[in-house]
Formats: sequence, C-alpha cells, structure tokens
Amino acid sequence: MAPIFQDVNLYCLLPELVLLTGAVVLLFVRGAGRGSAALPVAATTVIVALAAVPLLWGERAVGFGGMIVKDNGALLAQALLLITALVSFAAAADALPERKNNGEYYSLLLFSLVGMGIMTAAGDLLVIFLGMEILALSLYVLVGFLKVVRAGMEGAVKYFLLGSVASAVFLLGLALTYGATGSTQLVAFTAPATMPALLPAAAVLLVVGLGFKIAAPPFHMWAPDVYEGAPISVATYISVAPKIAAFVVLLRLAGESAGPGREALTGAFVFMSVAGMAVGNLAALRQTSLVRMLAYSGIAQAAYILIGLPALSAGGAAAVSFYLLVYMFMNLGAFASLAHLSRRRTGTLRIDDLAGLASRAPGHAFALAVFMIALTGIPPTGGFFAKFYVFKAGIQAGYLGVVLVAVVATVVSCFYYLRVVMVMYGEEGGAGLRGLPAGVTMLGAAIGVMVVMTILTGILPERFLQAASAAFPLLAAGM
Amino acid sequence: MAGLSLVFYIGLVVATAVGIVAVSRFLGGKPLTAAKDTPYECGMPPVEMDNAVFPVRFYKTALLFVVFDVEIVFLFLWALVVRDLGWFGLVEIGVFIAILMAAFLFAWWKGDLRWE
Amino acid sequence: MKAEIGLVWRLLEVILFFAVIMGLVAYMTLMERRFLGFFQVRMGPNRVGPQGLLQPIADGIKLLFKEDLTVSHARRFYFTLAPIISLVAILACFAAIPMSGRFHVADLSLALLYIMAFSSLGVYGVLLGGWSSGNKYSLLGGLRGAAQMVSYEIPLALALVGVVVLSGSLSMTEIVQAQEGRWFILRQPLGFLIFLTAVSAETGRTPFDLVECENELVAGYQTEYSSMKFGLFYMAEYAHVLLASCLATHLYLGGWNGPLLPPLAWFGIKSFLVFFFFIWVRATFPRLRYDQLMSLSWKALMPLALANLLITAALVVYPPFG
Repeated sequence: MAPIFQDVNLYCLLPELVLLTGAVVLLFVRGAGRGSAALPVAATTVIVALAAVPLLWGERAVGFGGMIVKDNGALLAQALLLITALVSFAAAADALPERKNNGEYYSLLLFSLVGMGIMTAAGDLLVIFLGMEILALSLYVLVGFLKVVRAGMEGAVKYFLLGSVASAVFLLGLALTYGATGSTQLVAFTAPATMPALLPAAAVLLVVGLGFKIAAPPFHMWAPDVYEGAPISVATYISVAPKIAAFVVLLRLAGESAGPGREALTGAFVFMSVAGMAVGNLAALRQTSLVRMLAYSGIAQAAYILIGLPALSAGGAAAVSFYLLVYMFMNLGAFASLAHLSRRRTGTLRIDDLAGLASRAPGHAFALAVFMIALTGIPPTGGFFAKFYVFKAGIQAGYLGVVLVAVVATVVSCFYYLRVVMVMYGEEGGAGLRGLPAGVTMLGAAIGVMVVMTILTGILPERFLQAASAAFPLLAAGM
Repeated sequence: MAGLSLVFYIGLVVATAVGIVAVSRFLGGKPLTAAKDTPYECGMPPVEMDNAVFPVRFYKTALLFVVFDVEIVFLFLWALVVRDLGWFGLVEIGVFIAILMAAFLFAWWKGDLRWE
Repeated sequence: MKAEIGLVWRLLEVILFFAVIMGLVAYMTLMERRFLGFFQVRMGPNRVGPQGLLQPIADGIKLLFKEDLTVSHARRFYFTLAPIISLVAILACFAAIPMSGRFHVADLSLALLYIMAFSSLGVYGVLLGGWSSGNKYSLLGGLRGAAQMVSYEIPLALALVGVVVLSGSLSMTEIVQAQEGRWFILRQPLGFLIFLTAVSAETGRTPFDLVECENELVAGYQTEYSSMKFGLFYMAEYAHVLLASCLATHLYLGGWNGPLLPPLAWFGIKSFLVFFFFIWVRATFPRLRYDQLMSLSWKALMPLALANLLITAALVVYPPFG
C-alpha cells in the first residue's frame, strides 16, 4: 500500500500552525490581568501569523490533496481576520475583569482563528465543516466567558443551541451534496450530478447553515443577546470575524455552483437578503441599547452583502470582498468605540447615555459619528462605495427588486444610525458616562486607524476594489 | 457463516440472561413483607430520589474519556498500517498525541484530575 | 442437505462453546473461594459434593428461589435491565475469543474492536443499576463504578493498540499466529503490566473494588439487588475475569501456541494461570483510595501506555536488530 501523503504540504497552513502553537502555549500561561504574559504572547502570535500571509501571497499553496487551497482570497480573509483579532485584543484588555484576562481567553480566540483560517481555505465541504466547528466550539465558550453575568449565560446558551442546529443543517446539506454528486469537494457542485434532484435542497441547507455565522435569517436571533451578554471584546470579534469567514465560504460556494444548485442558491441568497434587511432595520429602529442596535444593524449589513452573491459574474465577487473590507473597518470601529466608552461599566450602554459626548470627548464623538455615517452609507466614507458597488452588481445581474428593497432599507437605517450622531452632537447633559481614559490607549489608537481607513476607502475606493478583485481572480473573471 | 454463528451466539446469551431473570421471578415469588420493598438505608425512607445530585467531577471525567476514546479509535486504525506508513506515520501520530497531551496536561494543570 | 447438516453441527458447536463458558464461570466462583480459603489458611466451601464441587449448582438453585425484591422507589424497567446488560455485554465478548484454532464462535477479523465495543457496554449496566435503584449508596456506587471503568478503559485500549502495532491485525487468530516465535509479553512487558492493572480495575475486583466498597457504600450499585438479578451481576464479574484471563493469554502469552500438548490444553493452562494470578492479587493487596485509583489511571497508566505505544511503533518501523 503506497501512502498517499506526499501532498500534505504543511506549508499551506503556515499561519494556522503559528496560531495553533500560540494557542497551545497560551493554555499554560499563568497569571491574569496586567502582569500576565497572556496578551503579549497572543498579540505576538497573531502578528507572526500576519507576517506569514505575505509569504504565501500569490502562491496558491495547495495541501492535503486539494482539501486546503490557500489562494489569495483565503489570504485576504485571513489578514482581515487577524487584524480583527488584534483589535479585539485591544478591547479585551479593558473589557474583561482582571481575573478573567488570562491565557485561556486568548487561547480560545486563537483557536477560533485557526478554525476560520481552515474554513476560508477549504477546498472540501468536510473541511469547511471542520473549520466551522473549531470556530464554533471556541466561540461558544468565549460568549459565556463571564460566567457570573446572567445575560451572558443566556446569550451563550442561545448561541450554542442555534449554532448546533445550524451545524446540523449544514451537515445535512453536506450529506445531500454527497448523495447528489458522490463527492464532498467544492468543485463537485460544478460536476455533473448523478442525482441532480438533491442539489437544490443541498445548496439551500448549506447556505442556511452558514447563514448562522453571518447572522442572516433564519438563524439571526442570537445576535442581539450574544452581543449584549458576551464580553464586549468578544462581541467586537463575533460581529466581524465569523462573518468574513462565512462570506468567503459563501463566495466559493456561489462561485462553484451550477445548474439546479445554482438557482436554489440564488433563491436562498435573495430570501436571506430581503428577510435580513427587513428584520435588521425594523428591529434596530426600536432599540435603546447601543449594542443591540449595532447587533440588528449587523444583521442588516450582512443582508446588503448578500445581494452581491447571486451577482458574482457582474462584479459581485469584488463588490462583496470590498464590502467585507469596509465592513470590517466600520463595524470594528463602532464596536471598538463602544468598548472604549463602556469600559469598566456595568450594564449596557444606552444610546441616550451618549448625550453631550461631543462637548466632553470630541475625538470619540467624531470617531463614532464617522462609523455611523459609514454604516448608513453616506459619502465620503467607504460605506457608501461598499453599498454602491454591491447595488450596482445587483442591478446588472437583474436583481432590481432586491436592490430597491435595499435602498428603502438604507433610508430607514438613517433614522437609527444618525440618531446616535444627533444625540452626541445635539443633546446636552448625559451623566451616563464615566470619565474616559486620558492619553493614547491601545484601543484608542485602533479606533483612530479604523477612522482613517473608513474614510480612505471612501476617497480611494477604486484602489481597494482592485485589490479586492485581485484576491478573487477566478470569480471576478465572470464564472 | 461466521455472521450467523455470531448472531446465534449473541441470541443465546441474551436468551439466557433474560431467561434466568424470568425463571427467578417465577420461582422466587413476591416478597413476604412490605418492609422488604424499602431501600437499604438508615432512618426514614427517602422521599424522592429524582433530583439526585452528583459531583461535577464525574462529568469532567466523562468528557475526558470521550476525548481519549475518540483518540483510540484513530490509534487502532493507525496501528494497523503503521508499518506501511513508516517514519511519516510516526511523526504524524507523534504530532497528534502531542496536541492531545497538551489538552490533557491543561486539564491536569487546571485540577480536573484531582479527586478529594 | 450437506450444507444444512454442517450448519446444525456449527450451531451445536456454538452451543457447546457457550456451555463451556457458562460452566467455567460457574466453577470459577468455586475455585476462587477455595483458593482464597487456601490463602487465608482455612478450608473454603467443601461440603456440597466431593470437595464442594456441587457448590456452584447449589448457589444457583438457591439464588433462583430467592424472593425477587424490587425497591418501591426503583425504576423497575431499568432495574431489571441493568443486570441483563452487564451479563450480556461480557458474555457476548467471548464470541470473538477462540479457544483454539478451531473451537470458536466466529473468527472475526475485527475481534479486538468487537471485544472493546461490547465490554465497554458493561458500564451501562453499572450506571443503570446504580441509578435505577433509588438509593444513594447505589447511585454513588454506580457513578464511581462508571468513572472507574471509563478511566481504566483508556490505558487498557492503549495497551491493546500496542499489541495491534506488533501484530498488524485485529483478528485474534492472527494475533496468536504472530506470536508463534516470540510471545508478545517479551516485546511488550510494560504493555502487559498496564493491561493487567487496567483489566483488574475494569473487573472491579480488589484492589480496585471501589465500586462495591462494602464499608463505605454497602455494596455499591448492587445494594438493592437480590435473587438472580444479583446473581447476574455476580456472573458478569466472573465472566469478566474469565474474559480478562483469555485476553491476556491470547494477546501476550502466545494463545494456544505451545509444544507437545494440544492447543486447547495450552490455552486452558495459560488462562488458568492468569486467573490464579487474579485471585492471588485479590488475596494479597488492600483496597486503594478513590483518589489514588483515579490518579493511577490518568496520571500514571495513561502516559505510560502512550509512551509504550510510541516506543513499540518506533521499534516496529525501525527494528533495532535487523
């Protein structure tokens, strides 16, 4: 029996191996809080992994017999994920109680990064599932990391239950795909199926299962409770990282699909998109808590991105990856600001608590305003062009109805996004906020970078769009 | 043939076990006094047992067991082909066990293996 | 027609095999009591029949006629099911144990896995028995027993993997054939020790009898059992010891290989010696504390077994002497 392991090629998982090593080391880091080595070790690991990304860039490293394909799309996603993790580290230093700010927290976070790295680079549905589970199991624990907070436990249980169901749904889709094509490879979607009747159901189940990660209906209900109950640093992370990973997987799925599977996929995307826009925007209108508002806004944002997926051939791929990039900057920025404002504070931060922030902390108020404007989609921020490209792709591919809904939804979203700005700049008083830290903090610096990037993507959108479309050359070529 | 005798044997075993219990019930008869139906405990008869609480350590042990039991499933398969795999198999299983041992040492370090 | 006759013979052979096992289990109880008597300088049961040879039969009849007690709190169905599971799980394992090259139920190619699978079902008997009794002692005994069996299953299985590495097969026949030149005990001394320790703990006998632990837990999960339901647990325990003896013989002591005598005889002699060893251990050692028991498995046996496995594999891949 000749071993078939010549093509393992561990090199293609270089960033994951770095992260894995760091995660294992972190399990054994003693101590917690300021004096602990946990945060430095974790940050160093992520930075080393980030440094490994350019090494692989452009190589399209294939390993494990085609089960791992580290192409530029995977690498771009990985870079974004690692940056997200770094920002959440900066938030964690403040958001977690001293006692809890220890190795395990960062270890779990690195494990989730490994899972997403595998997910985004997977060439096989089974490997996608593997990555999803590594991600999910770490996040289940992270969401309930503050065991004493009741809301946290509620969020954790909801997340766990819905996540398990979503995993089961995805697995069922995987099984049907195997039944239809006799293979679990991603390319199997394009191959002629032996039982094509199963493909539509398979495609829909796969997408719906992945929809849990991007908080798209029908698995969106966890988002508000989780964001509210989890430590704010974890919420920052969950609101961005799993969405990026899941969207990359969705991009691949949509790019590979053909025939009956493709039509079903398109239907699922359209449904999830419209439902997400409706649910997210309408619910966000009624929120008084800032974090819950951002949670529903996240559902709506994911729904906008979904428009690009059925429109891959019309530049949808580049539009989606550009949107993901901008989404990372603006949403990460919004959550980081929230983390900064609600540091060392018990209970959730209400929008009304922000009253008069502009006069007391003009810098913070400006940053938050930029993020809110970007999330609404108003120029000159990147948010405008992100929406613009996605809508353009949608119209060109013939989804005019969906785009119209999205435009209406955007108008509706002005009310709740801009209300934050109005409260900060228009109202006086507001004793809800404690004293903010003086000087430049790590998190403050991160927020600054996010502000710059949010505006920069709005000023030079073409440059970023080109970079994004270069990451997914196959898809942009018009499949 | 082998399958048939296996099934026959297991059937024989099950029939014997069930048969013994049935025969004993028939021959032994019912208890003579009601007191024999009370649990073997001192003092008052227990009111209810349904909310039996037990230490969480048992649960942790069970979790650890599941992890290692799954590991052993892999090891059995690996053991069958270790000759053919050569050095590669050794290295791979070494990495596998090392990762597992890291988790095990973590559990040890956290005190999950400590009783009393 | 010929095929049918062959089939009938085959089934009769299976019945004979089963009868032999049941007989052995019954007489092992007597042997153990006599040997324990010998170790403790007393006579042991010797009144029923010559040398007490009819004692197991008398015991069986007595148990059959005992009142069939079921505590009023008990969950009756599971209470009855538990001893049946215990006995069936162990006895079913013997299907994969050939007594010689010819005398067996089935020569399974996955015999070792089959045995692992069925013997680990025994945990359910212990757990269900303890839980369904509606008694605190039983519940604690059942939990302890389950934790113990589960903990020792890992070093046990790891030791077995060592054997599989050497033999390259899971079939009992092939494992025995692989030992024709050299018994595996010579190549796996550490593995053999781990196997013996772990399997003693699995059977729940002294020094690992914390499942019953009569001075703490009355009789553990068996507290509420009487009549033949208790008898089934009792039989399961001895069947387990018999299984352990047979396994030790097959996996480490060369099975039925041996000069002059027929294979069946060699198998019997070796198994008996292992069984005698188990009695000897029981007569010699005091009981462990529960924390010692768990530490022994997780902190000593498991790492040792892994090390043993890796070294064995390395030696198989790179044989040091050619």
